[in-house]
Amino acid sequence: MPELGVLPPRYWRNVRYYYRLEGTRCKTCGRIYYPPRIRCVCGSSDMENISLLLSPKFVLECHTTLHSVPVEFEKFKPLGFGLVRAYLPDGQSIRIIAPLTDFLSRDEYEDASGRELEPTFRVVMRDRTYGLVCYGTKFRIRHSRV
Amino acid sequence: MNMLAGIAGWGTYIPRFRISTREIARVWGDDPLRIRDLYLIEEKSVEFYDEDAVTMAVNAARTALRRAEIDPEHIDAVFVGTESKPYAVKPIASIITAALGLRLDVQSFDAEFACKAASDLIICMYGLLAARRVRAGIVVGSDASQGEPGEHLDYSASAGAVAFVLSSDKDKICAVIEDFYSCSSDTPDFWRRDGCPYPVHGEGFTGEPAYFRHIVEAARGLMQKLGLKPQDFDYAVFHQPNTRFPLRVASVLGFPVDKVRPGIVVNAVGNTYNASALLGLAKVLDVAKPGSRILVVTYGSGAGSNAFSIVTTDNITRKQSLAESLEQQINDKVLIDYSLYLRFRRLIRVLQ
Amino acid sequence: MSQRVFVKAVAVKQAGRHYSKSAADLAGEVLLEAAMKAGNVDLDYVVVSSTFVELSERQAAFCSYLCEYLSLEDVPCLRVEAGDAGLAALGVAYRLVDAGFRNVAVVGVEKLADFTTTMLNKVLSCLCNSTFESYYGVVPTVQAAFMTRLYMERFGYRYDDIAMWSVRMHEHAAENPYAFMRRKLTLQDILSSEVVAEPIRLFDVAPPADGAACVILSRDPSPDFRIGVDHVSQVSHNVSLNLRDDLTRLYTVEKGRDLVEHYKPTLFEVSDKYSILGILTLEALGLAPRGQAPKLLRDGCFTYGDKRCVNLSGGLKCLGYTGGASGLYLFAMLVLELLGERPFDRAGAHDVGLVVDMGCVDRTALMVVLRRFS
Ligand SMILES: [Zn+2]
Repeated sequence: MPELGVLPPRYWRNVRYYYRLEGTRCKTCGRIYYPPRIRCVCGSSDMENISLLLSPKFVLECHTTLHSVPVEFEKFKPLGFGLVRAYLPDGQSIRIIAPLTDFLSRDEYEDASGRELEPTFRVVMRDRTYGLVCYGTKFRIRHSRV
Repeated sequence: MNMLAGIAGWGTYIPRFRISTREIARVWGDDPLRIRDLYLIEEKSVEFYDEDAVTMAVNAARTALRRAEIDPEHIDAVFVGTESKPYAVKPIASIITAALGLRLDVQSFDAEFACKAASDLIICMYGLLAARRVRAGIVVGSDASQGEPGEHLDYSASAGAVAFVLSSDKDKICAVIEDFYSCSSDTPDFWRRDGCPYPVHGEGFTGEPAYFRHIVEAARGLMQKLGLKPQDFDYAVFHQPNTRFPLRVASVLGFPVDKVRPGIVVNAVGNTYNASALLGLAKVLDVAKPGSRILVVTYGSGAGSNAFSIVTTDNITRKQSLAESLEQQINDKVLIDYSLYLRFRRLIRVLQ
Repeated sequence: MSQRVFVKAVAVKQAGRHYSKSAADLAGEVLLEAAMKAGNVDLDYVVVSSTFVELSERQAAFCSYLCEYLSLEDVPCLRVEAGDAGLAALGVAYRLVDAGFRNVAVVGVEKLADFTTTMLNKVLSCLCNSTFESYYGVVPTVQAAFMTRLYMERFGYRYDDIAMWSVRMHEHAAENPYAFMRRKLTLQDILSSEVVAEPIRLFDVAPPADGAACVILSRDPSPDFRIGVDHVSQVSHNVSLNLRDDLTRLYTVEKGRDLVEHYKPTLFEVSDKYSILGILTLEALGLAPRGQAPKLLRDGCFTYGDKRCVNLSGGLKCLGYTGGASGLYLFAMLVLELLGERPFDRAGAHDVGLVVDMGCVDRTALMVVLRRFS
């Protein structure tokens, strides 16, 4: 067996975060967390999972384009990242750090702050030629409206 | 009418990036006008380097589920038709179950029959729905298909996905599957040996004995079974390896061109293989009025066809407004050159 | 004399590409040098600081193998890790001395030059949340880039204003024999350097390097090395950046404002892994009003001639970024500044200094007050 860069159990148990952006909500005070927590600052441990993908609206608040990337992302460079605000159906909002995709150069995100984004399911990286293909949630600028 | 099963929601996904056949012709020294005349394809979609058959399938399935207005908890099966799996062994369908947050007791699998598998899976799902073994299920056709650079397929093989949520709940159904008719034969018109990166084909042999013979047989068989004629259909959608083939098969079957054109997608996005004819169906569903009858005939090399008669219900109009249309996705595009095309499709030789 | 913990010796290895030296070689050299300077005292404890030694040397229990290499066969040793806040190890050493151990060595070491750039980026990404950030390729530079952009937007600065930090650091380092980067840079050099994560450019990033630094703390004041440790504290803010209301604040360093008011330090050595962190530290400590640090830098504050001098060493920007050793470099530089060693004697006599070391991007800060006594 060759060496794996991505350990299958670790990928498997995190799939709900990668695929569905799961965070947690405190059932006592309503605070939401991403990354999730098992205990709230209010002291309660009564937490429920919520998928941020249920948010009908995502807005880009700040972005950067990383040109010097970690080794497994060399063929994905440059990497775009945004501070993205997710507006949940209940009116709450939470900011997350999220990868951006579908852009050819950093110029495309100039003046992009404040624009609406849409989540899209993408390959995050491929572990060598034989390891797992790792998927996750990225965001891109929303062009059309329903 | 037979209301055993129908479409409750549809979703499409076309990558944002496109390459023009003119640009491909430039690189390979072909005459762009001749190429255009040969295929009638202006542009084809290109998967970004972070896209593959899995990602497109998930994105299409999510849209379909939204249109279906069915809780993920109520999905009992997920089937995927593809011939470009990123994993030789490891299903796409199970990844969809995780991405959509489906239950554990869901049946899921991938199937391959060149470009036809997704439509075969619609028939499978229909059977399970009719037998009341499934209440609602998702069928996806997704391909980031291979075409050897410089070869015919380089001008057409593209990327895209389409998904349908099928249901037996008549309140959810927006298009009833009235009936279907299948045919197949051992016809070696196009294949890809295990381990080979690109398929090969018989060029002209993919036409008469393959595409035309099977599509005509399936379409005629279905119409005969239902006692319907071309004038009974409002739309006719055929598998689209290029734009010439569906237009020609329509005329052979006696469908006027204005019933075929609304379901043509290949001219703008290329041949999306398992998504091809079904994307055409989605494009028609995006605009069809209630009570429209649609003929859909898929084709897969090797070879076989499935013909469907689909009739829209009163629910169709509302469903159209629940997600963006295929037309919008087609128009949301960024053109790239051949060097980016090679990079995006990962055709440049690298170490990792 | 209220102090109970004293600095007996410091030793630093100029950071750089020490391809021929292992982590044990570098750490061993500075430890032996410091021990010799301290009069070859018997060490009662060795506390190691290294953030990435498992990744660079594939070595667990590095502290033990290091001690064996130095024939410190029966000396108890451990490694302390709090991200790349190396002074966390010094904090432990401080408490060991306070608890009765006579001489405790703190040695920081890192081997980063062995990695290629992209492999190093992968290593550095370990400082971010592995499941929610690093999985997608986020590195600390991305977090600093958000802070830089938001700071510029909020206070109406252009990139040139941020680059002033780097210009200043290079001015200071030009004469510091311990600096890794000793070339004076013009604003134009910085503006034309490559973009790493916009708006951050190469010269906004402390250059990763190999390095080691050692401090020996003792219960006994040294007659010729008259530096005492007045105060050591750690402040943490264990909150992901995305959940913070204000990314133009350093929640950890802000707590150092009380120390500034109480101890009135006039010399500062602060962690500036990125230009923005140096700038925000000036504001967090109250040395500059909110949104004013770049302006004050431009006006010539915080350097030789000012009543409060910051990073006369050139900061990590010029000393080099050596992971868990970085904080010990800052500590050692402040000691040399307080002792008036060349070239820092130009700053005149200063009695109290503050070192601020940071773990990750504002997740933890170690603050140490040093005092020169007569
Ligand atoms: Zn709470």
